Amino acid sequence: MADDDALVRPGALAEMLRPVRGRLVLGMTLAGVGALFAMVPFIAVAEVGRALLSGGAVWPWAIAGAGGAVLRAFFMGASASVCHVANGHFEYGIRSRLARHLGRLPLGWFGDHGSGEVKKAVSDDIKGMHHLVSHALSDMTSAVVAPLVGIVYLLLVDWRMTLALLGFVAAVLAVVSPMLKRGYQAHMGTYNRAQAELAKATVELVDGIEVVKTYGGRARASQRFDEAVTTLTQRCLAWTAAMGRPATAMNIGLAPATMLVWILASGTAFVAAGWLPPADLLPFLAVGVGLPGPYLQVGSAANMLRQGQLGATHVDRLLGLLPLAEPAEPRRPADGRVVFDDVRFSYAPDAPPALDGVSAVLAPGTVTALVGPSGSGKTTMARLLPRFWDPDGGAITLGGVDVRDIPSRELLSRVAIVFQDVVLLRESVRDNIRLGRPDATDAEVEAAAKAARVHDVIMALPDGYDTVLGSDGGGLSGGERQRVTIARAILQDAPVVVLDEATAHADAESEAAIQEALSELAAGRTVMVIAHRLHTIAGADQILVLDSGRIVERGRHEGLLAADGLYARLWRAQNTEVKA
Amino acid sequence: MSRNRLMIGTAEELMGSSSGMRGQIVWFALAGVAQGGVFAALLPLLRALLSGDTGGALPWLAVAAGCAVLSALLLWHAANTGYVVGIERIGDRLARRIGEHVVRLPLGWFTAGRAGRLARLTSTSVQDVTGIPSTLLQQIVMAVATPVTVIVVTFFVDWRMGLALVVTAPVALAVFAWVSRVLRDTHGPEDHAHAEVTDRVVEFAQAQQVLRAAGRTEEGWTTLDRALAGHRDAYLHKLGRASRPFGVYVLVVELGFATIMVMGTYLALGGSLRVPDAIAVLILAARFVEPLIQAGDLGGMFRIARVSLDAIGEVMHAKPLPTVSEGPIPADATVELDDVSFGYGERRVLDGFTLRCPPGTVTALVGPSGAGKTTVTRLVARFWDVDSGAVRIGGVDVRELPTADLMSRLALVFQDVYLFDGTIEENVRLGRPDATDAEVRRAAEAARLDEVVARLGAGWETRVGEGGSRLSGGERQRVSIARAVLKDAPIVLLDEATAALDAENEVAVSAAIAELARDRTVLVIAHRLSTVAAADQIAVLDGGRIAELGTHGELLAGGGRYARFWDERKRAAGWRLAAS
Repeated sequence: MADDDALVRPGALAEMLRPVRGRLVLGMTLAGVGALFAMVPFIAVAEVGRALLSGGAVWPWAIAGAGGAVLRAFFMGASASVCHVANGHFEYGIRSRLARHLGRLPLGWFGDHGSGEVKKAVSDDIKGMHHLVSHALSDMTSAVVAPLVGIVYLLLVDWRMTLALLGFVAAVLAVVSPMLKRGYQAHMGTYNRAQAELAKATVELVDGIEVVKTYGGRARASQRFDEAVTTLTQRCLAWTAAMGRPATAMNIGLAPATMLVWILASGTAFVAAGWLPPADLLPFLAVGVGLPGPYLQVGSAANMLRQGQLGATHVDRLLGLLPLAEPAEPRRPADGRVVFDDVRFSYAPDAPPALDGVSAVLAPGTVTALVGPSGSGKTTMARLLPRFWDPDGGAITLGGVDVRDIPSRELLSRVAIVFQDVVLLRESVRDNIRLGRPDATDAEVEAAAKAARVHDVIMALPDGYDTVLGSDGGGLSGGERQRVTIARAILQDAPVVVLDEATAHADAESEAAIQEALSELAAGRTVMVIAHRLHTIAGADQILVLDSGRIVERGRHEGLLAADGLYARLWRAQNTEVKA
Repeated sequence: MSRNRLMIGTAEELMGSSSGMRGQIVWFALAGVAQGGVFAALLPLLRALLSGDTGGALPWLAVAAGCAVLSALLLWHAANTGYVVGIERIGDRLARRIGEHVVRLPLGWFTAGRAGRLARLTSTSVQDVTGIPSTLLQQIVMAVATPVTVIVVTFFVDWRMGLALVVTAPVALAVFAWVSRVLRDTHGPEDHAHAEVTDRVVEFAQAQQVLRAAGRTEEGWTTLDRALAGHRDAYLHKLGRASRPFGVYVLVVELGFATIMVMGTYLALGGSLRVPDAIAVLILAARFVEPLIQAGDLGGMFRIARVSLDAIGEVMHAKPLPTVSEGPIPADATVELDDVSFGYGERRVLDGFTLRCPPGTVTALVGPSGAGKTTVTRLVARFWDVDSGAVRIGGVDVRELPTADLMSRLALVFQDVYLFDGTIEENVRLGRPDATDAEVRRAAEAARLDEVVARLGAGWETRVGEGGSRLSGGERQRVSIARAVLKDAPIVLLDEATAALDAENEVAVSAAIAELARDRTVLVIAHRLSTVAAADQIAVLDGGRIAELGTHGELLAGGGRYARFWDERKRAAGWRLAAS
């Protein structure tokens, strides 16, 4: 947990709560007033007792007590409602803000961090703040106000007896609190780590289940899982020894029963010594017994506060990420000509360059293929064009304009991208294709689907073009899903097309269909394609062979074969296999 | 309490043993009664003190102190035992039971997303349950035992006041049931809306590039906005509906207190109730209002534990396939599917499917996606059991073979290869843990893994990362093939990768597979033309049956489905991408 402490930025939370600050202040005020009324019944009981003994006016206090009880119910309820409503608006607001911000981050960020981080933010982190907004702030307000009112009242009755009472509470806390704090610091980190390790071991057990089953019970995964359970159990026991016992001690030491005995004992002594009229003991019995009660809950409220701060800090880090810079003076590309001019790029300042001085010209109406071993920079090159990242040195131009000077929507609408990771939304097939060009008519959508060889497949779906694709594709095979994305790209009608292993999902039956669809898509455009099956790009107008971030060979298929370099080696390696 | 007992019953059924929770209930109840004794002692004590008889108060003070000490000891024992019981007997045991149970489930149970859900189960849900015997039972049991003791004692003092204390209880209970019901009814929709938000945000992140090109990130993606607003509305709706019954509940409790306040005052003023007794009862009544109001929070903790138990129960109730401990010994490595029908739920996949693979032959499965190729290989490995018909190995039904015997005869090389977070050597050695170093090296050579090892920094000691993430897809596949070679099983089930490997990997993998297939019975889902053409028999699947069966030459000559398939594949293999 020590690591987490360093991460918390307290200001982040306050800043994030600003939009609902008015409601929160109202909710906390109501909680404070409620806490004030909450003490009235206790005080009234004491005063009724004193009045009964002294023969004073009883009814006003009795009615005040009954009324106070009803009023505290009202105020506490109102406070809870206000805070919960505030939370509803807060969650909505922060999620919208996060989504808007994500929409401006460089596309490359999503590949690196994936959806995991986004999911953690919108789900776990905001949930962490939820408890804080809807409960902890009002709880803490009452935890401060109620004892304060009680102490002031008791001081007015008898200061010595009040001191005796507070002294006891302070003594219990002085003994227990340091133990709790030490235990927390010593064990929270190891406990969290043990819990995370068990989660990982479980994932390994499940993902590797085929292996666990095939290779029997001695498999590593089972062993790791067992060890993780054992470790977590040991950590929990250590945690309990260090924290559970002091917590139990505090619960017992400050319990109403213990307080009652202490007040009765010290009170009897005070009365016997003549320091206190017997009737003045009643306020202490009625009010004093419950005084430390709220303190016992401060622990959980403090925990909620921490969770909230951690969540806010993480969300704040996302909101603080620099968005992709939009051009101050946007320019429009003239055509679909793409030029890489001495482009350098690395994924981290200390990482080896992924691209190291790459220059190439991609003319409209031609196919340029990127070839090379994995890690050679093919994918990086393909992704720099639509600005997943910006290069560290050199420039990429589209239609004569640096891509950084083209508004990102304009750029992305001019570059159609078909990657092997098929992205389909849980929307109708029609809407999925229409994303390519939001103002396209139904007829244009269908024409694109026909060109992509997927129209018949769609018509066979239960609701045709209105079938909503589930996260599992709504009954479409991988190859069919791929063709839907190609239909989208065809509809987009962009001058530039980037293809990355677009036939990866093809099974034997659908490969031909995908190929036809790709041919439709490629016709007449500037095409940049990454292909592992070299025969598919043997007819390319230009083949760039990459190795370690540099273009080591370039030319057409025949020329490269004749040069007998890396390309020829790759070709021969693959061709011995495909000759059937 | 009945729900409470139900919960313990559920927990014990899942643990398969006594939980020790019943004992905890007894201890906490005793502690609660002893605490009640402290409060009850207040009555005689006040009589003595308020009449100025400090001497007469002393014996009762001793009783109160005695009860407090007794209660403290009982609570100390029960709480600390509760921690250990929760951690060792419940948490540890449940986690291990889940681990043991899960590895016995049919592989078919392990669908996408299982790993994450199961990880939450073992790490978080189990932890929620470990708190039951300490915190939750303590709060619930004592919240009941202490007031009941006080009420019983009050009845002895004055039956009218006793009646006043309990008179609102039935009403409060009824309203409490109403609160729970409303929470249950509204929790579902809110939960659902929350899941929708998480899904949509993840989708939003994954589809950034597409959404941006369509301009949906600037104007806002209405689907996401709708999900966010939908959650806010569901949340506020739940709040609106739940706050009314909850408010009524609090009001009933407070009105109960007001009644006692007024009635105690009235009776004391009228002289039919002794003043010290009236004061004592009022003090106790005021004291017990708060825990009653907080019973709502207890309900929340209870629900969390309940939900966690249910989630664990869902996994534990999944049925493993019936297994036998001894079975006949298969005669040879023949694989036979005899009139097999099988479906996932409603969807029929195989329908009267019959296929015989003689020992030492290669059978290639081809056919459109969804034809049942994958299902056939997985039924042989008994991922599931057939609905009718039989799968036999060497003449023995796989259902009559002990799992270990079946698995020892099979080597599985499927597409999504999972590696454990360990060294390459450890991952290969899984195939046969007692293999010598030389045997491991030979298997690696056969799988062309030696080239990979030579290239990696730490050679055989290179760690592959969680799930094998530090290796490329092709490299991972070579590890899994080496594993299978080392295992030396007579039957190989193989799913050739459709995903494009880079040229070098593709060649290496094909060579490795050829090595693995030598002298074994091989059932292969084939994508490469070379594999298909070289097979001893080719089974063309369509609509859950075998449409054609024969050798490459026979089927081509037949001029049927296979011939068409072959033509199309040839065409696909000759396809070249071109822009014009």
